[in-house]
Amino acid sequence: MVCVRTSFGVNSFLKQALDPADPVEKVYRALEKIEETRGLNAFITVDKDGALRSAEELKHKIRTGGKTGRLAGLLVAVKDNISTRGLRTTCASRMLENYVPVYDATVVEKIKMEDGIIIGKTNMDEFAMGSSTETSFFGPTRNFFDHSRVSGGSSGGSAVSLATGAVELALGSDTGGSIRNPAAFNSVVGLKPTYGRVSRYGLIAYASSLDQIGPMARDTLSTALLLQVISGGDPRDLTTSSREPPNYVEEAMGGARGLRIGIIKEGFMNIDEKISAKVYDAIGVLEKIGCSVEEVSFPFLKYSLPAYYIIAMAECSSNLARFDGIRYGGKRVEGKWEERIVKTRTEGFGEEVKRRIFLGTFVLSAGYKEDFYMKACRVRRKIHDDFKLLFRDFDALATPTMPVLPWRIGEIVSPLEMYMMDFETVAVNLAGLPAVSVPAGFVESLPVSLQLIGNHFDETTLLKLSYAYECETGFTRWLKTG
Amino acid sequence: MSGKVVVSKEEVLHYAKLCRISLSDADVERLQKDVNEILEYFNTVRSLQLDVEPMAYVTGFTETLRGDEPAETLSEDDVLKNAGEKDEKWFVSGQVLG
Repeated sequence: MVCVRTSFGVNSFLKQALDPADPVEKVYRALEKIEETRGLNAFITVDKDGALRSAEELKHKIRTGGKTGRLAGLLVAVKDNISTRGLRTTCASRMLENYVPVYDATVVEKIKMEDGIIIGKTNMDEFAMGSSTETSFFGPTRNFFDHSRVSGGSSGGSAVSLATGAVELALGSDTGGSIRNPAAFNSVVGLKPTYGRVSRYGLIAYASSLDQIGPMARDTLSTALLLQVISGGDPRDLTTSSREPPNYVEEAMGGARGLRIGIIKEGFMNIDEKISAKVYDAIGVLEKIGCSVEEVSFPFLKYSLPAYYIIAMAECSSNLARFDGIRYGGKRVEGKWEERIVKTRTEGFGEEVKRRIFLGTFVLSAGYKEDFYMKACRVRRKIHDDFKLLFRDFDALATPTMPVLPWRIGEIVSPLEMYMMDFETVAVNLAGLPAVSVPAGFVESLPVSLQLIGNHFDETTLLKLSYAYECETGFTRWLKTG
Repeated sequence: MSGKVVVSKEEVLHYAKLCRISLSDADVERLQKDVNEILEYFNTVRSLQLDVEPMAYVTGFTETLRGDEPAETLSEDDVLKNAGEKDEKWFVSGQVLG
């Protein structure tokens, strides 16, 4: 197997050695890169002072012979719905425009503990509700390959910050595809872990039974490394699993020969033939390196999209009830109690967020709850059980990550049409499964990706497949060559 | 179960009130159109007959409680840091009754 260099050299995490570059110098270079690519609008907040301070501390640690962490000197971008103590966290909403968390999310604590340097907070759809980063109060993030097109979403800023080379690692969150979709649209790797693999403490909730924080990077081993650092049980999030995470980096290099891949036929229906052809080519590469490949049918999959939106909206209407302007937001509003709340929410939330709160309230209301919400929860059970049956025969399932190429900014105006873009990704969240999006090439100079879905807590198989495929194709180079 | 669910203008206003969101006339019209289009799509799920238990959470974990030990907590200053309006150590919320 040909070993592909990672963006910062394999040694740095195998031997836990520091990147040879001076961390302070490195931060300055990254800040320049962020400035050069500011037009793409990947960052909402750049933490120049904080990043320089972390880099200085690390430099001192190295000079004095201190033990450095597994992310020593690596630059990390954090999606702006993940709490960072003392650093503004807006959720790309006017509602939280001035919100400064007083504590770190568990994943942020872990990154800091391992000497990762957080350089800023990335743009996203408002409260992670969107598939293109167009609903951000701070304006859309632009696609790395074509600036007139969307970056995908909702973790669009994280994906673009990687594609530009500003950072080596990024955190996203994925409720219905929000890590995998922008990873696909910008030709980087994005992994949505098993529900419960990574703590959600400090993630500003959208739909709690579906949300999961996950790693994004330009290559597989970096993705594995970040997953390694952020995984594990957390007493502050009781939905996390206490099972010990394996060494994902070593496991990723274990080889993919003999793994059984099921191609979900329905994932290739009604999509552009050029996209399916590219994704089939990628699966062909996996077959060539010794995976077995077989087509399977998952007829019930088509119900995952409406069921997902019903459940996500229901949970969102409940989660976002806390935004009353009294405890967060820091804006003084006049009037009586209810007037203040209505004014804050009417001015603070954007159109898509309001629409989802509205529909969530509706599907949970007396008379409709059974018909919509409970029915969607039954669909969820069926989707989960059907996946489990497939995993008796397969180690991973394959579909395209996105059914279309990145669209032009502003091109999709109908909310329903936008929801349809999540067709390939939402079933994974309903079933709580892990999935990875891997670059699969280009159609009309725009990136296309392969989605690989794994069984619960089997991120390892996904990383093995992604790494073996990366070694064959060298996809990290595509960011330079297009 | 059967039949189309269509939301009227009055219902739009009613649910918006429950959401604590106020709407202009133009907002009501747009929201009504979008919501009815989306609900029609949701009908594909509504009309399904499924003989399985609903699933609200995927993990089968049993509920765990942390030990009843004092733990680190936020300071008063921190708790109030992002308040819309505060008065020494209180959140100011506006008059509730009357």
